[in-house]
Amino acid sequence: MEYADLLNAGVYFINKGLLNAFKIGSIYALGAVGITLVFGILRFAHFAHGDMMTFGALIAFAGTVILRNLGINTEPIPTGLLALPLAVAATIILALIIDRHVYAHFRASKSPPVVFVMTSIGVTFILQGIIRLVGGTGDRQFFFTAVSNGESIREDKGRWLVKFDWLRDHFDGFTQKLVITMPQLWLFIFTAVALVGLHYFLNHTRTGKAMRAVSDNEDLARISGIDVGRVVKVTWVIAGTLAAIAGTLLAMDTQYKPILAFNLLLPMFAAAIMGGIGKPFGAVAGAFIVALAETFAVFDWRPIAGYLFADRFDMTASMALVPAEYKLAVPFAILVLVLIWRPTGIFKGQVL
Amino acid sequence: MNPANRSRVVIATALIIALFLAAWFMLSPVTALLYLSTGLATAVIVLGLNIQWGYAGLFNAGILGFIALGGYAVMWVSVPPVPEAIAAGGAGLLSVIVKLAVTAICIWVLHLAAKRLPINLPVWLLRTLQVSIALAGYIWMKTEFVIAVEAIETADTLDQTMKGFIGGLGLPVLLGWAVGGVFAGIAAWFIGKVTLGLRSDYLAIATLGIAEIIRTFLKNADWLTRGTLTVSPIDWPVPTPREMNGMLESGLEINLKWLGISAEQTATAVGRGLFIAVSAIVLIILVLMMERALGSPWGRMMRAIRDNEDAAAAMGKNVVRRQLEVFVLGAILMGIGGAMLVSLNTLFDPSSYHPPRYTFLIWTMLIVGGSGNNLGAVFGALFIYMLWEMSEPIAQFLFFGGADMLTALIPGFEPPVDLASRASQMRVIVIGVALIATMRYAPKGVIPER
Repeated sequence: MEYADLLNAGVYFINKGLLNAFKIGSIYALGAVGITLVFGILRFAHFAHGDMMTFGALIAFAGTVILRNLGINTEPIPTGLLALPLAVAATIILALIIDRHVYAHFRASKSPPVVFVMTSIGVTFILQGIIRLVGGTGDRQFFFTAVSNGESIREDKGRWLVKFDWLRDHFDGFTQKLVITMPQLWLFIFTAVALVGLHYFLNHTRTGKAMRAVSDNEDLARISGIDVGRVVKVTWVIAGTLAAIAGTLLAMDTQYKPILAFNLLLPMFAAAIMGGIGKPFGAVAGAFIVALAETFAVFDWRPIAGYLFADRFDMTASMALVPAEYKLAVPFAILVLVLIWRPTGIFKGQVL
Repeated sequence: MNPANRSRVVIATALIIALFLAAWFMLSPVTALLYLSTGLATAVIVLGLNIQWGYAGLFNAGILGFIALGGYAVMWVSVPPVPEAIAAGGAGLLSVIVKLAVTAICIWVLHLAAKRLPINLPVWLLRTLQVSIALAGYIWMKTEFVIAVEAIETADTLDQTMKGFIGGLGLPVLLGWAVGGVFAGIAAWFIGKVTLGLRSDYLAIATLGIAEIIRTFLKNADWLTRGTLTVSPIDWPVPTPREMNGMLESGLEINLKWLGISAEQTATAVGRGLFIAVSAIVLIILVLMMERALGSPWGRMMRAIRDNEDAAAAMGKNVVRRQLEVFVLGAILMGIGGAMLVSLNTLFDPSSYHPPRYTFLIWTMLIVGGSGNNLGAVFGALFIYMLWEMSEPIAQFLFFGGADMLTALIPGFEPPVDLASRASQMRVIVIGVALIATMRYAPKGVIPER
């Protein structure tokens, strides 16, 4: 075994394993924080959260196309990022409209949580329909340039990559690539900024403290003079913002599709419940745990075994613990285990 | 029947008949019959959900899983076996099953031993032991399983439409309907054991996840289900339209012109009519059974548990056990309904099971129809299913009309090329609006519980 093999194995592990886990973990975190805030303050599982993410991605895509057609190009910052504020604003407005016209009625009539869940399923239907109606049913690439005569020319995706080449110049036999795409880089930046900002907001501002108070005990908060209606609005603003960011960056990194976020719903719920309902930073921890577990359960260890113990293994069969098709089973298994053995989550959230 | 409900039932029936006639004349009589028979099979599923939700208040968001299991069961029972595949991989598969059984028995014996024997085994040690046995069993059988599956999937068969899986039993299809119920019931027992007792939201999330796993399994286990290649044809309990055609040609002449059905459609229409008759008989038997159950002391107890779990528990009722019963019973009906649907389509396609269509649409049917009420469940199923089907042609009509108008009015306007597939999304919106509007303005549904 040589240093190069060790390096190859390590870089493969980081690139295909850790980086992937952190990417999907960031997406889950942004979604799960929104879910846990809604769960804690409005007290129901918001099934339409995934579609809010897709909605944000769709608006960002529309904005990107418009910006491209105006001839705006801000290399090295992806054009999609310029459209992000638009997506965030649209998703916030959407969330507030839904709350005002759908959930507010049931809140006023003190309906049981089941009614809210059912209603949010109805909202999912409507959002899914609208998303497909407006955005079509096909997949869409963010990195296409629309040319004026109606044809699209594919942009070089390579220019959105950040490559770490210096290792290759310093070691013989180093073949693995360490590549981060631009959207991934921005995803990490946004996640970090959003979470730090949220931490500051919840702990150091009046509104943030009011939110935590409502989450802990709504009636007590109300008689202490907290404007619960305003807290609910702020909750939707935060949830909508994070959902739009997550949806847009995920769509930029892979592609936009109408079912972008449906499969994210279960891992995000798993993360939120695991972190303890009403605990945003628990949800973040839960998101990264779920993402790591899921990524490494379907991670194929073959190349690493090949580098480290060349020829001593049968390399024909995949060395993943779980076949990739059953990826969704991993967050689900985590969810069930948490629900059975520690329903309050690992960070002692509320029991609803 | 409650007299206050009588007028609502009349209006509901009229609505269904209106939609049925709209399909009959706007589309074709055969299509209308297809919608009716699909609606009847769906009604069995909604009846199952009504038992779970309407009788017992269990929030099952994994309906799709039970429907898919029922569908698989009817395929497995009615399709003939594939001898070449069994010769290639049957022995290996049998050995895998034996190994799995041995593993399961070991875990079970350990469980019993910890419970009955006077040794004081800490729970964590017991669980660790059981998990390690499970893991060991998994590794023990994995290689053999992969080889057997490979052999089955690549075995050469005479009949190319049966290539790639082990086939089924080749038994009558009505038995398959029953087995569909049994499969779904067994699955529900295990799922219920794990998830019942959770708060409603959590139960919904958990069942949603299990349904996704069942769907993924059926879609990817090509050796068992042929996966994306789909299995067809699945038999009907009555002569299929094709067999009917043969019977008609050989002398059995039926003239349905007076119904607006052309001579070419006669065989299909008669076949579908017979299928509708069988489905209706199954549905009526099940509704009567459920009505009996609801009126019995058991039904009263279930409603007591639904309305106040704590009070029922204080009265000495074993709440979790009763809920498990009801969960299994409801799942059995869902399995039967799922089997009927697959049989009706003569096609088992595991990738066709989408949550909006097979879980949330069913929920909408029950909520709109009126939960806690079997008649409401049946009405909701027929009405919402026809609304779901009919909103597509109506939306298409409006969309293409609108696109034509815009093209004429605005110079340079180009309608999107995928207009048809976009228009078909309208029905999702219609269903969502129907669900929310019912929740808001008629929370008890169109035909409320007595």
